[in-house]
Amino acid sequence: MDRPRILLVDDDAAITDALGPYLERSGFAVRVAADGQGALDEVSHAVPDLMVADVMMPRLDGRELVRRVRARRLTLPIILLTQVGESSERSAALDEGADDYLNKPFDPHELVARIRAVLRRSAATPGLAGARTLTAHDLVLDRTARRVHLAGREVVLTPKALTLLEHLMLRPGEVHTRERLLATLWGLDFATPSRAVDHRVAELRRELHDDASAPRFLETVPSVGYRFVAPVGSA
Amino acid sequence: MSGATASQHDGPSGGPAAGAGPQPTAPQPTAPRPAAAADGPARPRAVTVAWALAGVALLAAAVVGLALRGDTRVVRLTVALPCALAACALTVGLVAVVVALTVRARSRRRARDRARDGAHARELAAAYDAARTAGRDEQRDQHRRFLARLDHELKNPVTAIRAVAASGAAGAPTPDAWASIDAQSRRLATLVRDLRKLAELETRPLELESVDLPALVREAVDALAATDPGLAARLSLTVTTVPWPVPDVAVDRDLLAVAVDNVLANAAKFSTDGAIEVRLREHDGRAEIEVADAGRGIPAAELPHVCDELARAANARDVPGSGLGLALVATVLRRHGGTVVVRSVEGTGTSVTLALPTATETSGPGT
Repeated sequence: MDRPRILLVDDDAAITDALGPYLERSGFAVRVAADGQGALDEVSHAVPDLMVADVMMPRLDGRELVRRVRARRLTLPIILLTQVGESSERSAALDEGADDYLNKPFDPHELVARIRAVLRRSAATPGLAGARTLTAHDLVLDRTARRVHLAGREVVLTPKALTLLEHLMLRPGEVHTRERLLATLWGLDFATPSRAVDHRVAELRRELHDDASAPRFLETVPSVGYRFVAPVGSA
Repeated sequence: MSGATASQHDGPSGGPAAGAGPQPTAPQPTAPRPAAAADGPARPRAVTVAWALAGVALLAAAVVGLALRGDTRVVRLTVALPCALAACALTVGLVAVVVALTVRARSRRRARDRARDGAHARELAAAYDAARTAGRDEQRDQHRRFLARLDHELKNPVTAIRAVAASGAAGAPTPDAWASIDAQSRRLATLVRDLRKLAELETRPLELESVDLPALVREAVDALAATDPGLAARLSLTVTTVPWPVPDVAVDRDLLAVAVDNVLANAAKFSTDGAIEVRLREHDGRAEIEVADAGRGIPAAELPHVCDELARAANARDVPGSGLGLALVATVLRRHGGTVVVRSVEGTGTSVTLALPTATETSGPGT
């Protein structure tokens, strides 16, 4: 089987020089672009299987790169390496069509794990990342209007619970650790463990009438975290 | 507890102590042992963090309204909402002007008849300048302390990495050398991440909701107790219900839970035996969560800076920690218009009180 083709985009040669060979050794065919414009040129030439792009770059930054790629109706998965750690930056990156993000400095093993997960996900559920509406059984999540309906009736959720539900529905079948969810959605993955995730899962279960012992939507994976078990469709 | 209310409050508009709490009167000593008085000026706190070269954080910080009164073992930390540095400096000045003017009120009353408008204006301007200068001095002091601690945190990992690189230049590094680079670079990465997260806390939007505080604190205590039966036996929670219960508070539940968890984890970490008492009560329209332990305590000299970023007391170096926990707690409370009060006696124990404004703060029972 061909090695997945990765386009690595970063203006800092310290990153591409070190990461490129590492990704090659990890089983990927890697091409490198020095900024967003270079990446667009590469994509015009040949669409890779996945793109890993820095955010802060000259000429064309990572966010604008994502917008332009999506504007061309290209669904290749994109992982953003955000340099600005703001939570708002994070959610904006995801909102605008990036499939995942990783904060610098990151563990290279983590990047490889993330690349593989995103490749698996995009093969299993193509187009889900860009979908405006997510559906599972009788549950409908309108990502644009930020509203949720269950069996035709609106469910009122706190913003955090809604974000958590969206995050899980976009990654059906994947196991999410509490730590990772805390880091991704709360930005609170330091100093101390927190029960924030469990608290919001409890809210979701309550509002979605989901029985933890026989879940239709949210399954607890003992001593690990949570998994969205229902098949997810898009509209 | 005596003198529990501390002057606090500062709106994002930076108004001069609009709706400020009572002026910082000298509180009665609350530590169990007397100590030499160590008065300090009301000091502004506002923290800004900037990122500099190679992902290493530089953090400029200042403390608003840190008042040392009466006892070196008692520190009152009053914290304000973050804002732009310039706005902070102005706010700080204005708040301090109010304090300064209040303190002088009595003597001014005697002189009032003789005071001319011009003289009054000059006095006001002088007080303003003095307060602003004091605020800037404190900002610079805190910044300097932070840089010194950052230097301390960075130099060992960087030296270790350079040593491996040097030995690599002379021949192939050993597996141990690679392991050292891995460990030291992780240490740096964690430091950078934590500082960034702390900076994010300053500006992240709060998702306020009405929260049942007794339930939140009970959940936190139960979770800590579940980690260790020995700890469970030492932990107790008292929630006052009479003459009135603790009212609900409007807070970002997740952030407050993290703050409470941190304080509890500290109590567990720094006390190997003895009781850990958690007390929740309403006091003067504020909800107070106190976590008290019989642990090793904090040296008096380090108490005033215990909530600074990267602060690690001299007697805490054997216990793993980032030195960011209490800074996080202070930031969370400040974002909610609340305060953190740390009282401690080295060798005896520590009490940390988180005070939050409640909806009834201005019209609560008894007022």
